Amino acid sequence: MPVTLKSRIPEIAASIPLRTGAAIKVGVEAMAADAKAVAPDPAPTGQYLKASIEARSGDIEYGRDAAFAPSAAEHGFATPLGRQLVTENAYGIYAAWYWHFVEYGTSRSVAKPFITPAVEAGTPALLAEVKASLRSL
Amino acid sequence: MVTNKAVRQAIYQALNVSAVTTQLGSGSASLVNAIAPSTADYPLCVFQRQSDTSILRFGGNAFDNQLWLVKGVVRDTSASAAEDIDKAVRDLLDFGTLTISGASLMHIARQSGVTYVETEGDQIFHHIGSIYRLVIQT
Repeated sequence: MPVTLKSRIPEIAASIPLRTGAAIKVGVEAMAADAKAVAPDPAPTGQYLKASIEARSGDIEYGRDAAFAPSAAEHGFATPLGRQLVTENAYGIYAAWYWHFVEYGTSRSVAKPFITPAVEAGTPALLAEVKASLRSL
Repeated sequence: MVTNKAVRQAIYQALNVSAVTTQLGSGSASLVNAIAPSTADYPLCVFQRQSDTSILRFGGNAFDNQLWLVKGVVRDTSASAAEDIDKAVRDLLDFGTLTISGASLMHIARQSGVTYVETEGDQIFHHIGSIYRLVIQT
């Protein structure tokens, strides 16, 4: 009786960006939450800096396996309307434009880092999430 | 655990050399931690700790992983002086040495650059520097 062997490599290769992207999303969202918690809001900007901080995906798209795109929503990625493409794992922390003045200081104000500490503290957890997502392939 | 004071003093000591101070407004007086007094002469070299995380191994604190920003600040339309300070600092700190009281430096290297422009009324300040990663064993 003939035996048919089926390779899972294409399926695994297609799922790597989605799984790692989902893990990165979780990690970056945790970093953004930490940054938001410690971000100072100097007058007269009110609560604007703190309120502006969030994890955002980039506009990098991929279409290497369009058939895989529908499952992207399960991982929290939006599928752009009218296109069989999903946003990939370009994920970062967004903050109001003047964040670097707060993060690195100005001629008149001392630096109050809030993004760097969050990224540094959250990186081990993010890497652990990525490793766990790859182990389950 | 290494203290912020010990690392700050080590960095100051490493940067308080003619390669850096001759490019500053008032020599050593323009080499400052965190923020310069309003009377300081530009260009300045400003350094400060950006983050500090402990790496735990075998139930204890194996080493400290710190990021420090060292930047040149110039009040001018040209960024050249700040760029020169950044270059001089990089020559000293990137894979350089620090003598830290009560601790051993395992590694220091430039991680990334920082560049931005600040405007205050009709004055322009160029901030140009680098972030250095320090791994310190206590």
